[in-house]
Amino acid sequence: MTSAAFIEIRNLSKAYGSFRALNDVGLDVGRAEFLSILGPSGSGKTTLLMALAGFVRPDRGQISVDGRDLVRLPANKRGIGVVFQNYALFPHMNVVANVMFPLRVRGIGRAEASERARKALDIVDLASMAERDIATLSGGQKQRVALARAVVFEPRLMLMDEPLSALDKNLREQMQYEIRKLHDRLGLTTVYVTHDQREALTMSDRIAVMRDGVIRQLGTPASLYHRPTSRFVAEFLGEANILELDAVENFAAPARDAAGPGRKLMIRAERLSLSDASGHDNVSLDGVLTRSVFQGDSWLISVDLANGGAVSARIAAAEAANFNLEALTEGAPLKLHVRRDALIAVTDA
Amino acid sequence: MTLPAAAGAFDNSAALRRDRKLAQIGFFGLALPAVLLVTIAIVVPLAAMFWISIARPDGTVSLDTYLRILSTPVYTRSVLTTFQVSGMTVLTCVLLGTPFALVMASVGRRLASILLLVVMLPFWTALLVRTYALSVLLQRNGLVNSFLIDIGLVSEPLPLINNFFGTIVGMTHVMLPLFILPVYAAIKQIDHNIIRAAASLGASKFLTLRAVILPLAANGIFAGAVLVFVLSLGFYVTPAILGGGRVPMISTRIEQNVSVLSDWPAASALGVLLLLSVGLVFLVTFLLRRSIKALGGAANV
Repeated sequence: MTSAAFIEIRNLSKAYGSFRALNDVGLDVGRAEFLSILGPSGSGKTTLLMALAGFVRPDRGQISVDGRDLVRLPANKRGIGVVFQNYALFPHMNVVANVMFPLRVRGIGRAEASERARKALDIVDLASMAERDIATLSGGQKQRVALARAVVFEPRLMLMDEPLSALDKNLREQMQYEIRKLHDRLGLTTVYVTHDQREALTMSDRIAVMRDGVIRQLGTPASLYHRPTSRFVAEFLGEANILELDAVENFAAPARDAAGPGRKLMIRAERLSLSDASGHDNVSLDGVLTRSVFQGDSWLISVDLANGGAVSARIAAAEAANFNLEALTEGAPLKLHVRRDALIAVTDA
Repeated sequence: MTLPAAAGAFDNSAALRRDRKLAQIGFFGLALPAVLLVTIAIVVPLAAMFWISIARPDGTVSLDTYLRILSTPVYTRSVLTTFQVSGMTVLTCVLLGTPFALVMASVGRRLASILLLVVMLPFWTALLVRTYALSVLLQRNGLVNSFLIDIGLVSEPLPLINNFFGTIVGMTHVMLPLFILPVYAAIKQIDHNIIRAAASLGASKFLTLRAVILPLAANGIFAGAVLVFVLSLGFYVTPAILGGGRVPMISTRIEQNVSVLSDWPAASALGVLLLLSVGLVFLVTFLLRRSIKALGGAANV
């Protein structure tokens, strides 16, 4: 994505006293793309989103949307839909009045505004609740109202700040699907902030992983998960074993080519297996079992390696049954296998 | 593994219930001193006041005193004045206090605490001292009049004291902090993201204020207004000093009846009427709020 980007962020910086919330951030987002900003708290992800929305004034840098520079434009002139973590609905208005608000603000008559608001509520399956009080809604319903309110005035850009973090797990997964569906259906460009890596992996076209006010890595969910460039990204996105480069004999190209000083070897826990599948270029690691924990759909085992270092391996239930893992006791010798292309060199930070 | 048997277990629920009762009684004991004080210092004198207002010298009971008060213009006028002063004080507090509370709620924490200090500062001085200080400012040759004459804005001193105006200035001065605090609390309680949401949806600052902030702060404004009104109804010192005898409130009449006329039945009856007025205000407030709530829902933009 070069000049065709829908959102272009350049050299964006923001400091609060001595704390640098955003440090020279650059980011392009394509038209109709679903991009997640993922990071721990304090990484700057919310500051970046709030700068896009116009609630935070950056110290320096450009933000342009669809070729229009809007870094100095106040929030109410940007025409961007925003969905907040705590829904931020107007508690003194009922459901349909909330959704009508952006239309009424734009001078649209009551009748038309009401009709359009009801259509938006229909999209989020809340048409029957138009006259309800906000206080009588469940968390999931509130977030649907917030979604309807944010799309009813047809913004091209939608910003979401951890919109699902207040919901329970089952509802969250359902809403992830529905938000993505809404994004696709309306042809929106969405920037979605979350600290939940699974949510980011599930929903996004691309993910930007942030830490300390800097984007550490940007890419598709699969590329980020399978080929992290840093220990931080590897550990933030999943279960990662970090080993010295010489922990694996003949750890060679292509991974070694990328290796340099201060580099480590990363292996995802679920890529380690007990069986040596034929037909692949596999590496085997000898060790002894130090711990095994049953976790329902899988086992998590800890193994001390003969070459030094320790790894955790996630063994799927079927494989665990084949190897009779339940019968193994601490200290039992084991052989773990991993495909050579699952050995990743990462920086140690 | 088996579960422990449920049947045949001994029942200790009665003992547990007794423990809970005892704990509750002990807890309510903490409130006992205050309850006693309120009973002795308020309920008993009020009962005595009510008795004096209806008792004849021969020990029979009648409403003579009330009928006398209601047919005497001096008294009916002071009831009217009391409500006028109280209403006007509420109005000036709303007009001056609401913007102040808004500013206080929207500035940073340090500036907000300075503003809070400014609001609370009058409480550090005795009411009488503050009232006399105001009369120094407002009197015929006072600072305000001298200044206005010096800059040539007026040629004659303005009547700023010993009238309705002076009373309202003094009352507002006393009541403003009591109004600002609940309004500030109500505005501060509004979720910051709600205000951000209004902006992201396209609302200007003014529209956000009108359609979102003020409706959400309405409870606080209402509470502050009722508080100021009720306290103003019985206020004595400020109208007495700054009104210069020309703003006869119910409280001034009570004082006259007690210390000048020694008419205890009339003083008591006025006291009862004042109490009833306060009760009436609360009743109206309650009914008003209930009907507003029933109307609520589709707020208009």
